[in-house]
Order: sequence, then C-alpha cells, then structure tokens
Amino acid sequence: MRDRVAIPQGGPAGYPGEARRSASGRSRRRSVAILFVLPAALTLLAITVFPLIYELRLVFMSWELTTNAPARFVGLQNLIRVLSQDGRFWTSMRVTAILMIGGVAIQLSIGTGLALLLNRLGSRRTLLVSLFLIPVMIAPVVAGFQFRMIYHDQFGPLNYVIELLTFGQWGGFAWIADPRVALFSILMTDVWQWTPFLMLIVLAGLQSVPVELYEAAEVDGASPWQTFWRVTVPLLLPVIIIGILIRAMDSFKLFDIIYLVTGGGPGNVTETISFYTYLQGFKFFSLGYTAAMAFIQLIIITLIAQFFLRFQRQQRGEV
Amino acid sequence: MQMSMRQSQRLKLGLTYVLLALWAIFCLFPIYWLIITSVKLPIAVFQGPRYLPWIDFQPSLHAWQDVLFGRFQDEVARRWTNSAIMATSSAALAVVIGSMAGYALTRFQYFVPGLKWRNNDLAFWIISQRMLPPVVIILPYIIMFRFLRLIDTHAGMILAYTVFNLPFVVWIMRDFFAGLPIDLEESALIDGASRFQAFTRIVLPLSTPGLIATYLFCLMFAWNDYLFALMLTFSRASTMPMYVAGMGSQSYGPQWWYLSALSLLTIAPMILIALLVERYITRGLVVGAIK
Repeated sequence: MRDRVAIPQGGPAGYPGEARRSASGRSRRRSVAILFVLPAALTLLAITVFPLIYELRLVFMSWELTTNAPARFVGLQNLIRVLSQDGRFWTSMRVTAILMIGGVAIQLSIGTGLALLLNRLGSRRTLLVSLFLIPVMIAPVVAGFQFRMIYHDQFGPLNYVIELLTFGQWGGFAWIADPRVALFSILMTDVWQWTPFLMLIVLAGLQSVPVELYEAAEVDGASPWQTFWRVTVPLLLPVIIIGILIRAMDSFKLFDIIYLVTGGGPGNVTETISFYTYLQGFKFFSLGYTAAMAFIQLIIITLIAQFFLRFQRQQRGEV
Repeated sequence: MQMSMRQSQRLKLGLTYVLLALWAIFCLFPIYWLIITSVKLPIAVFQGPRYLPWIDFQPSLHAWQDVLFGRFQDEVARRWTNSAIMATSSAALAVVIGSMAGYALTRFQYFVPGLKWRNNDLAFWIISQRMLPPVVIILPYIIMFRFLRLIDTHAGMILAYTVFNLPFVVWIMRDFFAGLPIDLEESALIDGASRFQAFTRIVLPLSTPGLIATYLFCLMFAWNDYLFALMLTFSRASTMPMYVAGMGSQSYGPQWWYLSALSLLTIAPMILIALLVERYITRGLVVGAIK
C-alpha cells in the first residue's frame, strides 16, 4: 500500500527561493508536502479502495444471503447472466437512458431559456435567482413527497387544475399508478428539481461572453436569432457540455426520487439501474449479482467521467 | 402600426417578466402546497381543491402543534439535531482536509512511483471517487462499518459524509488556489514563515468566499442525503429525511399534514441558505463546471 501514497518529487513548484536551500530543507519540504495530502489520501484510500476491491472480488462470487449456501467462486457467470439473460437489467438501463436523455434535453432547453431571460434583467435578477435555486437545495426526499401529493389522483392539485381547465371534461391521470405516464411524472420531478442547475451554468457562461462580440454582430446587421446561434451558442458550448455531463452522471445515479415516489412501479416502468441494483442487493440479497451490476455501472460512469474530465482539461488548456 | 424603439423594448421586458413569472409559479407551487397542506385539517386535505387559507379553508396549526410541541416533539428534535450535527461537522472536516490537499496539489509536485502518477492524475483519481454511484459502493460500506462498529453512530455518518464530500472539496479548492497569486505566500516564506503558517495565515483568509461556497455545498449534500442514512442508520443516528420518508410510507396512508410540516422543517435551513447567501451557492454549483 505504501507506494500508493504520493511522494513529492524534490523540485519545488515555482519557488526558486526554496530550491537553493540545503538537502535537509528539501527532505523537510518533502514531508510537509506529504503531510498536506496525507489526511485526504488516507481517508480516501481507506474508505474507497476497500469497497472497490471488495466489490471486484464479489463480482466473481455467487453469494445469496437468502439461502444458507456459502459464497462460492463462479468466474464470469454473474456478468454473463446480467448482460445476456436479465431482461430486467436492460429494461432498467432503458429507463435510465430515457430519464437521462429526456431529462437533460428538457432541462437544458428550459434552463437556457431562463438564463437568457435572466441575463436581460441585469442586477435585478438576484432575487429571482435565489427563488429559482430553491428546488436544487431541497432534499430529494421532500421533493419526492411533494410530488406524490401533487400527482395524487384524487386529492392532488394537478388533477384539480386539469379538471378546471377542461371544464370537468377530463379528470387527469393517476400520475404515479398509471404505467403510461408514471415515467413522465418522474421526469417532470427531475425537471423541476434540476432545471435551475443548468440555468445557473448557462447564466454564468453568458456573463463571460464579451459584450463587444454582440456589438460587432449588431453592427454587421445580424438578427437576434443569428446572433444567438452564431455568437452565443458557440461560445457557450464548452460550458453547456460540462453541464450536460454533470447532469448525465447525476441522473445515472437517480435513486431517491424513484424509491420515494413510485418504488420502481407500476410494474417496473420507472425502475432505474440504481434502483434495480438496490433491489438485487437489499431485497433479494444476491450479493455477487449486485456486485456484477455495480461493476458494469462503474465502467459506464467512468467512461462518462473520463470524457468529462478530458473535455474540461482541454478547455483549460491543461493537456 | 409602427412601434417606437422604446415601446418594443418595454414589451420585451414585460414579456421577459411574464415568462419568468410562469417559471416562478411552477417552481414555487410545490413549496406553497407544502405550506398550505401543513396548516390544513385532515378534512380540508380530503375535501377537494382548497388553495387559499381563510378563503376556501380554515387554517389550523394542529399539525405544527403536534410536530413541535406534541407527540412528535422528541423524535423531531432528535432527528433534526442529528442531521444538524452530522451535516455541519462532516462539511467542516471535509473542507479542512480537502482544502489542504487541494492546496498541496497546486503548490507541490507529486510523483507516485509505482503508478507514475503526477498531480493531474492524483486529482483525477480523487474526483473520480465522487462520481461513483453511491448504490454501487454502499454494500462494502455496510460491511466495513459493521466490522468497525460504526453502523448507526454519529461518528460513522460523519465519516461517510466527509469521505463522500472530500473529492468535491479537493477539486473545487484546487481550482480556487490555482487562481490565487503566489507572491504573498512567497514573501511570507522568505520571511521565515513555515508552509503551514503561510497556508493558514495568508492563503486561507484570501480564499474565504471559495471556502464558504464549498462548505455550504457539502452541508447541503449531507443534510439532504437519503441513501447513506437509509443504509447505515436505523435509529440512534437517524436523520430528518429518514423521518420524512418513514412517515410517508405508513400502512394506513400518509398523514399529509404532518408530512408537510416535517418536510418544511427539513428544507427550511436550505431555503434560508438559498435566499441569504445565494451568490455563494451559485458559485459552488457553477465553479465545478466553469473555471
């Protein structure tokens, strides 16, 4: 384990004054450098490396807590079963993908719209931004509960409003219990909670666009529409891509809302991959199988993360 | 009909406000519904559409009475305190440990021999820990926590939240420190200050806004968390979100008035933070995405 702890190289980073000191000074500096990262490195090593190694070992085991059979080595069997025989796994992947793509698309469009509107207000927007920020800040448990109330087929305000707007012709849906709309209801909850996040990101991006560019576009006789697509969007693109990736990684983990609002149901139309993993592990107690699913998610999220970080580094010219 | 420049400007601004107001309604209605449900009598909840207190229903503080001073009082106080202790202390720990590492990653050069990692690789390793879906790593957590007797303890939860927040802190603060001018530190070092003194007396005071933003962000995560609490606690260290979720899944149907009052107690601190220190939160949310 010891070689995993970072060893600083002798060279100081940008302190020529320090470099000329004695050899003992260098070793002291080295220990100072280690001391600075040691608490963080040790905590992370202790508490994340163990889970990963443990999980990796489990991937190749069959360990059913519901039977009394001891854990045994089964090789790649778990992974093969997940990928080739488990329809439910693929269904939950599809649900996750729909929520991820649909959610990010809606949130990004509305978020960009709101950011453009807020940007027009100048400094008067502060209060509005604070208000819009509230959904991001509140506990998913509460968000889930709120929407269970709002979607309730008999006493929920959503159906009241629908009835009012259709003059009593139509009483709305059983938003959570109806398999046709349950996924949409979840999607809307996500939109409610996370649109402000993308709004903020785009807003911050807008503020960094130099005003001269807009002036130049106006002088050249560009229409607002052209200015938006030719000036604003290209400049915002890096920021937007980062925002999309952050949201994609987060919605890949979507769990709380599902657990609290629909419990994956009706049937399993709202069962995300995180929720299905949870069921396998903590309701069916198939530990090896759970680990195999976890491992697959790990690979996917690592790929997205790699892409994200590489892109970010590239933007900053760190490569 | 010709419109003057001024009129069209005004129209545009008016439209802007209308659209923003529409979103504000969508955004705040759920919270409004929580508030009015918490002051409804059970009968008013089940009677059909009732939107305005005093106008279409008679508000009552019965739910608040029970939650704050009645039969739920002790339990609420305990969970709320648990949440508060665990969130504030884990956020503080994460910020202290994480900003030290973040600072070091911008000021020293590291090289991990076996892996040939340099600073950027280390930073990537650290942030990648944050990207793991919690459900993926929770099982080994449970086993490890059981072994260390940390299940359902404050210390255990503080540790779990600290670890979960740590990568974020390192990542954000690394960016922040990289943007600080190093001249001040350098002159302090030449004047004989130790590296640690330079860090605590010069770098940290300069970074207060970043530290506050990061702290609030960690606080928010720990305060709002459900999954870790669900898996690692059952009674003693149980939190507010757990209480809300538990109340919501009672077999005789949720008692919405209590649930609403509890929900409001749960989200109140976060809403206050959003309203009072919005700029810090905005910074925390955005800084990870934009340099």
